Amino acid sequence: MRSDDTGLLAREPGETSYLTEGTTLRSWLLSTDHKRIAILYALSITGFFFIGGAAATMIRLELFTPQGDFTTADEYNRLFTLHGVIMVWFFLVPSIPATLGNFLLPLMVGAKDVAFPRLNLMSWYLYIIAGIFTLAALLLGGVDTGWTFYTPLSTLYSNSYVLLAAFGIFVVGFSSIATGINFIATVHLLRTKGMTWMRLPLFAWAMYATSLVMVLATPVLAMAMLLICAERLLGLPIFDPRAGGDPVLFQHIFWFYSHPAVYIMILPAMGVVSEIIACEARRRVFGYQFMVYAMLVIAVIGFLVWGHHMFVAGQSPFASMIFSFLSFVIAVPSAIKVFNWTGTLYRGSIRFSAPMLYALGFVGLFTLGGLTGLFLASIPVDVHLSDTYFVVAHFHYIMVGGAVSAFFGGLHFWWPKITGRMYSESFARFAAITLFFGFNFTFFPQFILGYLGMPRRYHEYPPEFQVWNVMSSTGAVVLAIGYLMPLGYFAYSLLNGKRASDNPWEATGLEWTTSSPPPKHNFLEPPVVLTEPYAYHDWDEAPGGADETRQDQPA
Amino acid sequence: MSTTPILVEPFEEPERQREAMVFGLWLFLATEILFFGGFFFLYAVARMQDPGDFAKGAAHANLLLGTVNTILLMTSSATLTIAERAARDGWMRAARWGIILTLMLGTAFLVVKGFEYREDLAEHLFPAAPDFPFAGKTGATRFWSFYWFITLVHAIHLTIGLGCVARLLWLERQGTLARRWMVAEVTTLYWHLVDIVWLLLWPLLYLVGR
Amino acid sequence: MPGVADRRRMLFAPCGIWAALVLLGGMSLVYALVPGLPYKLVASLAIVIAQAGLVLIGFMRLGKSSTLVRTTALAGIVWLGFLFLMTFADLWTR
Repeated sequence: MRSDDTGLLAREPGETSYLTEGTTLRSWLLSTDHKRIAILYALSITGFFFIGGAAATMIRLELFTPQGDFTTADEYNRLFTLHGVIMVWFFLVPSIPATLGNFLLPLMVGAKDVAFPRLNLMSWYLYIIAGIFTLAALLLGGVDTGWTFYTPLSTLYSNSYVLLAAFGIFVVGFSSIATGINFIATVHLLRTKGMTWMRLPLFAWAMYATSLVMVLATPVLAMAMLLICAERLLGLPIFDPRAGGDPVLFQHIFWFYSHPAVYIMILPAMGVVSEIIACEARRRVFGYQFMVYAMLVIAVIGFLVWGHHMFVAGQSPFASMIFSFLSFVIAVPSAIKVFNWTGTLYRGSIRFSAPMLYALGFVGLFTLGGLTGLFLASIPVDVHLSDTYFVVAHFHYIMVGGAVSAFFGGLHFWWPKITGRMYSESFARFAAITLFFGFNFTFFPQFILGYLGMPRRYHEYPPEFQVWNVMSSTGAVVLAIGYLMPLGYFAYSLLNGKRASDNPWEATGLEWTTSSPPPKHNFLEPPVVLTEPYAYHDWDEAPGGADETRQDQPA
Repeated sequence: MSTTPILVEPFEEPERQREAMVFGLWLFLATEILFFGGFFFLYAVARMQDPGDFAKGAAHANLLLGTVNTILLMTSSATLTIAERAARDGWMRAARWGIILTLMLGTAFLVVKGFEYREDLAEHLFPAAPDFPFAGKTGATRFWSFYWFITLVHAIHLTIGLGCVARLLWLERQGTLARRWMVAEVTTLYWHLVDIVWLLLWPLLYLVGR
Repeated sequence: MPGVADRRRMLFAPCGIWAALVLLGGMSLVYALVPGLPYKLVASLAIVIAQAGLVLIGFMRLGKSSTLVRTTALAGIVWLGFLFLMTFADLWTR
């Protein structure tokens, strides 16, 4: 990458940007600027990430030994519930959309802001209020139902702060919906001149597809949580078997949201990976149109597979077979994307920068996680693997190995744009590699444990499982180091990093045509799009030294 | 012929702003379809499981008050529609009266609902109450659980709607309603949703097994 | 300020829809109360759909809205359909 830190392209100290216009706390907390809201979100989700991570640390400490010696069974239940609730709703769901999406989507489509800037600010406040309710539930003693809140445990028998936590989740859903509505309207109505649908960067498409899922799935979660609240608060028997209620109905309503929720978590990651791989391999994305259709197909079919979480819950075999079949079908568009990323890499001039290391890690880890999903989609295999550590490993491969890797990759890739500073590539690469090894040492043994039959959500286990658990817990230490390192070098970057030029990665998107960091209204003049995305050229046809054509330059 | 509308960031053309506001609101209405839809699904299952008992429980719902409320809400939809169209064309007197009538009708709905709840409680028709008359009858118990849950949720939606409509009146008093008719348009769309949900609920709560 | 003809239209068109809604409601009520009539649930649901249609098209002007808006409304209903379809596929085959 070019380091034009002192050159003409560097931002002069004294030039205004969105960071310098208004420096009071009030100007940040009442800002309707999508870029500032993105940073508010980034800071909040980082806080929640470490809270959820602290719970994970305690879980892995307990599981170091077969006996239940670090926590009681009840405390352990509260720990994994806390971990799941915080990580799913307060970290993963908002992570890429509310931070990178908020910051980048208007820039990528060439707009001044999102369609509803005040709604955007409100979505952050809803997130914070929800976070307060949920943390209150935790501080008061926690919830012991698991993040899935299955009835009738959650509604009738649990002796924990279910009402408070469920209400918190109800509120955070509105934050999600608000973001989704904003992004959909932005992509439909605020694209700049020349930015046709098929010229949108894949990250923008990913935000769009994710937003469709957020808007259509989250309301059903809201209903599920509200029903739990009503049953607990008002004693109205809705899922109570003694009043004829069917707990499996709760599971249907819950998973109708919670399965698409995992696509809310992975589609943005796929968008990030496409951006990074194209740029760092200096190649057009292979099969752009198929990449778009694949994301849209995943968004739609993702709504039709939720029953694969209920194969052993009492669901009819007929329905289970339909859900199983569709779960196999949904692997196809995901696989298309993996093939296309590989096709993009083939014959590319690959730069192994930190973002690229994260993106490559994503491709491998997502593939492994996704393939193990197929094991679980097969009903007879799922009967054995359900509620074992195989499931835990499967979803952590996708959500952590996949989504979190992509989030970190995106954070590094767009860091210069967001902050106007460069970070230390060597430390970042080291952290990326540490994370990759730590991750695999933590979660691969869990596939083996699941296969051997260790159940999940148990604080103690038979001694023959210990060796794998020790490996997993040790890996978690390495993983934690990988997560903590960025705090160090990013802080250093903010205080003392080299100033970034407009386009340090020599990428093609509209966000790279404006200064780093951008001015308050994103562009000095509204850009006009003249080229398709990812116009990276082969080195032998490079015009005048640059091997990319930005979207605002003629093809 | 409407007056020049007030533009909000990031819009620079009124037509685009209107498109965005209406589209954004319909996206929200789609979420409400799914939200209430989740409830209607549970209702359908419960009613199909135990139709006899369900109907026995439902027979105690207050048909008169329920019907009065339905008419109040239908009327309020009409008055707000008149208000919104008048505001867009600058006929502020009609807009003001339309909004005031809507507020009165909506409040009347809540008052009637309050009386209805009082009567229901007087008859101990609350499942968690110790002398609930249908204890042990699962169909009737679930009917009454649903009744309380969904009428409360609807009432909350209606109250929020009243707040939004009250804001329109405030804008009218400020003299800016004519230029902010787009706000009136989207508020009215939300109000109509509150109406449609009640229209769906009325036969499902009050016309069962009569 | 709109002319007299426009004003009349503005006042009376919604009243027409209102009258239709009340009429349909009355039919629903009568059909439910008269003993011995068949398919009461279906009748009341059909009438509700008609009423909802009147509100959507007469009040909310869905018929004159952009394709985008109508697709959005349709999407909400279709997705709800997914919920009903797949859950009943389970419940009715247990």
